[in-house]
Order: sequence, then C-alpha cells, then structure tokens
Amino acid sequence: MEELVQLSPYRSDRQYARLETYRRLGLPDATWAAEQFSLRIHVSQDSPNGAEKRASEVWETMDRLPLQVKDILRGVIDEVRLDSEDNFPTDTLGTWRDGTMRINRDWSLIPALRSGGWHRDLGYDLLRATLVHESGHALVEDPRGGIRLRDTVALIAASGWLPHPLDDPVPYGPVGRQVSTLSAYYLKRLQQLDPTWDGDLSLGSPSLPPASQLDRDVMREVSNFNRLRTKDRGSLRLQGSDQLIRRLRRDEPGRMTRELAARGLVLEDVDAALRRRRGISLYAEVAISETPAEIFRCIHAPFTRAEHSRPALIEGERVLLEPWRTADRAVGARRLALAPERPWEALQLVRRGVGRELGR
Amino acid sequence: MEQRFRLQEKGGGRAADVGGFPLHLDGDPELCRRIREFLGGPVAALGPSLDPDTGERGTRVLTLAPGDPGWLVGCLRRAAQELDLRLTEPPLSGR
Repeated sequence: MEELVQLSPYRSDRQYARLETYRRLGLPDATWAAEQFSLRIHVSQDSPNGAEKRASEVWETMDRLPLQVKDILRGVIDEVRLDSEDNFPTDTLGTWRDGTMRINRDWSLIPALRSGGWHRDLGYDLLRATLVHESGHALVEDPRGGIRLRDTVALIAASGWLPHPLDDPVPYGPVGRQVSTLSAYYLKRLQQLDPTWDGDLSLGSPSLPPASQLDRDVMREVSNFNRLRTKDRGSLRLQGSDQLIRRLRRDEPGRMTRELAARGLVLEDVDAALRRRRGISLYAEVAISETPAEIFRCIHAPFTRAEHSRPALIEGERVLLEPWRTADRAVGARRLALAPERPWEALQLVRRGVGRELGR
Repeated sequence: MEQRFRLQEKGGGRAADVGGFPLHLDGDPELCRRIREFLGGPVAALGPSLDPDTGERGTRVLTLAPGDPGWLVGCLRRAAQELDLRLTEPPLSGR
C-alpha cells in the first residue's frame, strides 16, 4: 500500500516580495531579508572592507532561490550571519547549525577561488549551491521536524552506498534490487547496532543519536579484531560506489571470484549492484550525513548535473520535494507580492534595528 | 587495477578509452586530443568542512590535483558535458 505523503511543515502561505521592490522604495536590503524571511541578519564588522558588496551578493542570490528553499530560509533558519574568513575552518564557504546559517564573506581569500580560470558566474553558482546545500541540512536535520530517519536511509540506499561484498553479500542479492527493500535492510541493521535509531524520528530529534554517529555507525570501518577486542558495536561499513569500485579494481580478480562464490555471488552480481545506483557527487560520497543535503542541492542547483545518479534524484524528489509540493498544491500557486509585506514578527525585528545593521 | 573510463559520441560514433594513473588515452586520435585538453589542471569540487573545536559542519571548496580520488572522473565529466559525449566505465569482470 502506498504511504500518504506527510505535508511539509515549512511551506509558507505568504507571498514573497522581490528585493528589487524594496530597493525601488529605498528600503535597506537587510530589511527585505528580515521582513520576507523573518531572519535576523548579522554582518561581522571586524574587517568592513567589501562587507556591504558581499552582503548584496548574498541577498541577490537568496532572491533568486527556488520557492522551497526560500520557504526553508523563512520557516527554519532564524539567523543569517556573514562572518569573516578567520571565523571558519580553511576554505569553508558556509555552515548551518541550530537555525543559524553562516556564510563566509571573504571568498576572495580562499586559495582555490583565486584562479583566474574560473568562469565568471562561479561565485554566484557556489553561493547558491552553499545556500541550497545548507538548507538541505536544515530540511533533513531540523530539530523542529526534519524528514524521518527511514527516509534519510532511503536516500542513502538510493545513492549507491554499499558494503564491500565480502563483508556483507546481502545487498548484492534480491534485497538490493529495490531502494525500498535495501533501505529497510540498512535500517534494520542500524537498529541492531543501536536500538535508539528510530526510523520514524528525524535526525534532529533529541531522542536520536547525532548525525555524526550516523556517519560512525553506517560508514566507519571497524575490523572484526578490533570489534571483539574493544567490544565495539561495529558498523555497516558502507562505502560510496565510486570509492568501492576503485577498491574492488585493486583486488586480484581470481581470488575475488573465489571468495564471492563462497558467498553465493558472482562478479557480475557485484558489478550490476554497483551500476544500479551511483553517488550523486564527490561531496555526497565523503560522508553519509552529507548525502541527503547533496541530493537536495543537485535537485535545486542547476550548476550541478548529476544524470548518472537518477535513482538518488527520484528518491530525493519523493522524500525532500513531494511533501512540500503537495502542501503547495493544496493551497494554490503563490504570486509575487507587489509591495513589502510586514508581518508582526518582522516588524519587531525592524523596530529593534536588525534590518539596519548595514548602516544604510 | 587502474580506473578506466570510455568516452563515446552519443549515437555510438568515435570513442576513446582513458585510464589512470599514470594517464593514458587510446582510441580515436582527434577525440583523444580534444579530451586531453580537459586533463591538465586542478578540478574544483565541493566537500564537507568540520570545525574540530565546535563540531560545526559546513561546505568547503576543494581543489583536486591530478591523481587525487575524484580528479579523473571530475575532468572526464566536464569533458563529457562540454563535448557532448557519453561517459561509461567498463565492468569489473572486463579488467
């Protein structure tokens, strides 16, 4: 039986007014962000050169975001901070945690972005990708109601994460053919490691272990020797498909064929399973906890083309987009607001001077 | 065993096989020449950042140098996109 889609709690029924509308009326950009997104804005003043220009770029990028991402910024993010480079680990573009999104406003200091060879829109593309990716984390992990863990695991299963076939042959058999059966199997194994992994709760729920433990329980390599010696509870030891293919290519084919046969598999089964679903990006293959946010980015940011991973995109549409789309359809299309819209909460922010921090 | 990829014109025309590392190209000479132009410099990619003091996670820009995991496939994906080619990998059994 098909499951009913749970409506997204983030969908907003208010319209959005364009940044241009505020600018035409001579209102500060930060007022637009406070009123339209109910955001507190903070621009660090420790190195003011270029801060205002950078802030404008951020607001212009926010103005052009897809409606769902705007709804997340409005409904889930409380504050956007533009901080200087020394407040971030090296080369960091932006972060999200507990309702606060921080954007590094000194990208010109990031060595990888100094090359003159980048195309002229790279700054915009990266800023948009950062905002969408971090909003994806908020959607998945927000303590006030992110998506269910079983849906997060479905995104992982759809993105080609697999164990080494000699560690666990089950995903290479019939269980691995469908995302639904594979994700049910992964969730069951996860619950065997730690029963507090409740599939019906969100990763942000205080009753679940943190996202970092998801990486540990699902990805970390724990050898059988260490597991027995330290009484470690082990791990599913999943690997991204690209990483796993590289690793399998290093193995001696004759020995691999014999060891697979001892587990009832042939090399073609392994090959078919690896090709069935692929990682959506290098980023998504670095850590399990990054995969859902990366799928969200790949769906929404045209900068990324990930046709090689259609199952992940299809599962992402079902899990990350459909609840919002269903809610949006239920209320009807939203048109652009032709004038600033000032809800009570935003007026309080503006009265407290939050919208004037840039001193315009 | 090395990573190997095939780039082929859509519709099954000219093809080139690329392996690494060290890099080598086989197949249609003109296609190899055009693909080689994408195999020079570093490739930019996005990856996770982690603040070890606060545990705060985020997005950072990575520069993948030749030989790094993901560098070759990053170059070839760009070549496939720009030259309108199909990028495939040979099966594990076909090593």
